[in-house]
Amino acid sequence: MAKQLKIKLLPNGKIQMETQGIKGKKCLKYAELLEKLADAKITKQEFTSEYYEQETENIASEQEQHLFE
Amino acid sequence: MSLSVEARPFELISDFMNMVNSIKNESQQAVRNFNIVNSNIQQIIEKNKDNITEEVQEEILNTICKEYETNFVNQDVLTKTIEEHGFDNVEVNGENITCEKDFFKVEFSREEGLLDNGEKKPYKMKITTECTEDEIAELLNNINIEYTSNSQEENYIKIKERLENKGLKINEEEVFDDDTIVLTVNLD
Repeated sequence: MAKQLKIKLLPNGKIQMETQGIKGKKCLKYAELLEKLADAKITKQEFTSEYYEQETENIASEQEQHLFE
Repeated sequence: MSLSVEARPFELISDFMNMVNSIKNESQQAVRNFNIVNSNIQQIIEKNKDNITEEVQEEILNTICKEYETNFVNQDVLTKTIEEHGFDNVEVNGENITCEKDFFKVEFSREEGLLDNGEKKPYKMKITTECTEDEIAELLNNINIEYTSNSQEENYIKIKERLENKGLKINEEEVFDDDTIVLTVNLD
């Protein structure tokens, strides 16, 4: 499955994000990324089944490292 | 309307209420100029603050200033919203914003410090003009609608710009009937 972020900007000013195709704990890094992108704080977090799956490639790519700086 | 007020310590809150009710009932013009009276009363309180307990001072001020809780947190968005809403004399001083519209005199203020979730505390809206609860509810509701819309717009511009700065491209952008915007970003 392709790795995707779906960022929802709600009309009440709140922001939601879903990660797709990102397995394991790495998805938490994207939650931190959203906080930086939106100057926001995570107030609610739910894990999907992908969170409990193992990522086969453990070494973050150069692009990913740049994202989380 | 001319007003002559003699300053004396307020010993009984009922004296004060009688005075206010008398002024308010005097005429429609008196009601329109109630903010001037408020200002004078505040000066009287200031002059006599050593003779009035803090509890009584607060009680008096609560009768002439109406304060409401709001969900407004972002100062820039709030300032933009009230300017767009047609308020005049918008002044930002630290965390405080004062503004006027028609006969409304409004002050937005908040306490320093953060909430448990790390966010800044929301603003309180203080009205120091005589007006009805319905008028205030309508005003607050209208500001709230525009504030949330402006928040969404600000989030959209900021997130889009920052995604681009990180070299991420938005592959799809959808707007739904309820005005929710969904940005899809491919990471591969």
